[in-house]
Amino acid sequence: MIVQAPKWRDNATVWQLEPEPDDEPPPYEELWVNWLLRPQGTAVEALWLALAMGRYAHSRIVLPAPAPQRLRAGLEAVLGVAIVTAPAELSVTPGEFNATLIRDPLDAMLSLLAHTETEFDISSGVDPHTPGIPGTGIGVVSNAGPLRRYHCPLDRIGELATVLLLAPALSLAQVRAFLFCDELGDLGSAALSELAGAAGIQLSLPIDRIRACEFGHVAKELEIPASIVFRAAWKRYWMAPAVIGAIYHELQHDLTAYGDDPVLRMCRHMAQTAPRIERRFDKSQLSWAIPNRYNADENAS
Amino acid sequence: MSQVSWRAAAPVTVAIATRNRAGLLADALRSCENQDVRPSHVIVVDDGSTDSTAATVAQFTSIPLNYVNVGGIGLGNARNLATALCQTRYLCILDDDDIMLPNRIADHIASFVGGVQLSHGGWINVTSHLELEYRPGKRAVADTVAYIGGAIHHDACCYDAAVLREFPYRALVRGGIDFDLAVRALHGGIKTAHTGSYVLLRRRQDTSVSVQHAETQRRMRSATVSLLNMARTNADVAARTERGRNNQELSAAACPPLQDIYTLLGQPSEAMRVMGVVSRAADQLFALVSQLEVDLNQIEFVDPETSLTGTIGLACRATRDLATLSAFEAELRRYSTRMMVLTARSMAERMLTAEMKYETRPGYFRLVLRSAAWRELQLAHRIIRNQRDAIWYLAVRQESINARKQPVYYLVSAPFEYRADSGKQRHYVENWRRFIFEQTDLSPLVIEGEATG
Repeated sequence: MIVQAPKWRDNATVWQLEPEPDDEPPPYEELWVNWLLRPQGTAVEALWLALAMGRYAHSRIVLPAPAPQRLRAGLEAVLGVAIVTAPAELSVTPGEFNATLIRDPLDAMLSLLAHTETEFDISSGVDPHTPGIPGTGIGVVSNAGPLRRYHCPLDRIGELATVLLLAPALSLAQVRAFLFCDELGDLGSAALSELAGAAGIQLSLPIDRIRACEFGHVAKELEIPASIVFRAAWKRYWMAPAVIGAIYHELQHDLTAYGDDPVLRMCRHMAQTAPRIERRFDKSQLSWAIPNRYNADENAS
Repeated sequence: MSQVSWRAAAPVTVAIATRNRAGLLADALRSCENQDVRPSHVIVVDDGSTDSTAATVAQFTSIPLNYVNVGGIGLGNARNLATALCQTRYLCILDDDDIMLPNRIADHIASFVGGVQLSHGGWINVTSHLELEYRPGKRAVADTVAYIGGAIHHDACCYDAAVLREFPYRALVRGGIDFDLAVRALHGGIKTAHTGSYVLLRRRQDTSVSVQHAETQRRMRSATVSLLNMARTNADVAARTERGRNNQELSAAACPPLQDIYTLLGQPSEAMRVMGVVSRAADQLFALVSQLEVDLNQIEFVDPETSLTGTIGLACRATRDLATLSAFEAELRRYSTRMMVLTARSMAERMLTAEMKYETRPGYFRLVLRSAAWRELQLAHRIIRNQRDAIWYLAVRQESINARKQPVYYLVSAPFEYRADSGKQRHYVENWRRFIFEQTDLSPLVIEGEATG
């Protein structure tokens, strides 16, 4: 897979993709992100491109952006393909600010519950008609997410990588994302954090050990009203009936007052027909949100 | 139709959202059964029917059919639910009152190569009188879809399901959700391909969603385009509109014979005529006529447009003989991208009865030849063009001759510019007039200057 140097076109920075003979043809001819991201030549660009295109390359990805040796080796280990690019030294200028990926109001709510505000809340998606969550300040749109999700419907690495791409411009030191473990694709949080670290950014994934199907448990523990959660969960996971079914099972007793809601009826259908996911929820994974309570629980036990 | 074994089923799910249309739904489901290559699954989402929809669906046992009834949830939600339940790679949207042509699934699958995520084909609009309008579609370019239209029809589309998961239907809107989805997906840059064929019979009746919610659809389209334009300058929008307009309708899309189409729809109850829309420029038009392998005594011209630089209809005479209609349709489709099958009454309604208008700028004149027989004008045109270079157009009007309405044909020249030397102007015009009269025995009318008719 050969990725050409970016160009500025139609209010977007565009990377032309050239699949090689054994590659899987990607569903887009270009990788793009709105805004003019001036030629950066930085590690995050290489990281972004490699994460977006890794699944389509058979044996190698040729990148226009240079990458430090540690990042290149990390990407090759994770993606299983050679990374062909000019070598580069990682910039020694550390970032200063922190950012949180906000995909929807649920992320915004979790961010508030974390009691640690960041300088930038950045929404990230692909739909040009929903460029941002009101109040987040920054909305970035790209097709990196769909490229990743083409193989895994729950994957949100594309959105996260797009926030990482903004790091040089915003001088980011740390990026936080409330992604469940099955939203990390096949990468795993440790590998992903290592790759981000090799690109000079600290990655914080507070709920990376919790699965999306445990969203109902999370909502209950954090006392988020069920009537809000089931609608928000539908918007986020409607394409995954098993996940919706599990969330519905957990919340159904709190939803009896909303029985005739069309969305709730669809959730109920999925709960009745989709394969049941059995999982034991480990509530200590929420210690970031309400540390005193869980620390007390642990001390008591 | 041949029965195909399960091994031949394609990785395609057909999704149908329905509400109180049991009779029409049966036709739609039958068209799923009768595919040359069958879909793996059919999902029917019942959007709160109170008729016999459930019983109708239960009759179709030869295909894996998932009937979902969670009450009224709206069209957008119903389609999204079908997407969520889809377990195949590709998903065909089918309206409950439409019929898939037997080639549809096979043609979509064949066009999903090289990362294509949207396969679209031509569609044939069907009226309650079983009139047909062939719409081959255009290349699915974002600017054409947003600013011009006529490129794709949602019901003639098959998506990689990943696209529909990425761009769900807006659940609450009652009209225009297909346009909205297509614009968002194409704006994102997905790869598209045309099947090279017609794939759908689309009913256009008073009960169709597109008719009942036409105004909502129009507003939704307007809002969708406005959202796009907010990030664009006027010059950018103008350039995109022009690019979209330059994307012409595709030609020669493969299509089943008319007999097969009317086997699916039922036989028309009255005589029908096939009409193709072709260029009215006489050079092209008469060359086309001479190439047609049909009885020229059986063809007529039908003029629905006032513009002389536009197009004209070329039609066969009314007949109930489907074989004759089918042969004419197959022959004419080689030259026309816009084909129709119309009742005689409908054809007559399309014929212009208004007086001919000849818009001519000051300093120019036109020559007009008139005859009740188009073949006389064809002969005249052949003689004139062999000796003098000029552009001519054919036009037709319904006029009263001997108290009887009948078509009258006009051969109208493109404007000639008067010679700069005013002393030679009259001589120039008269020279043309005399030349035509001597060559053809027809006396041309001279239309001068800025005049209109």
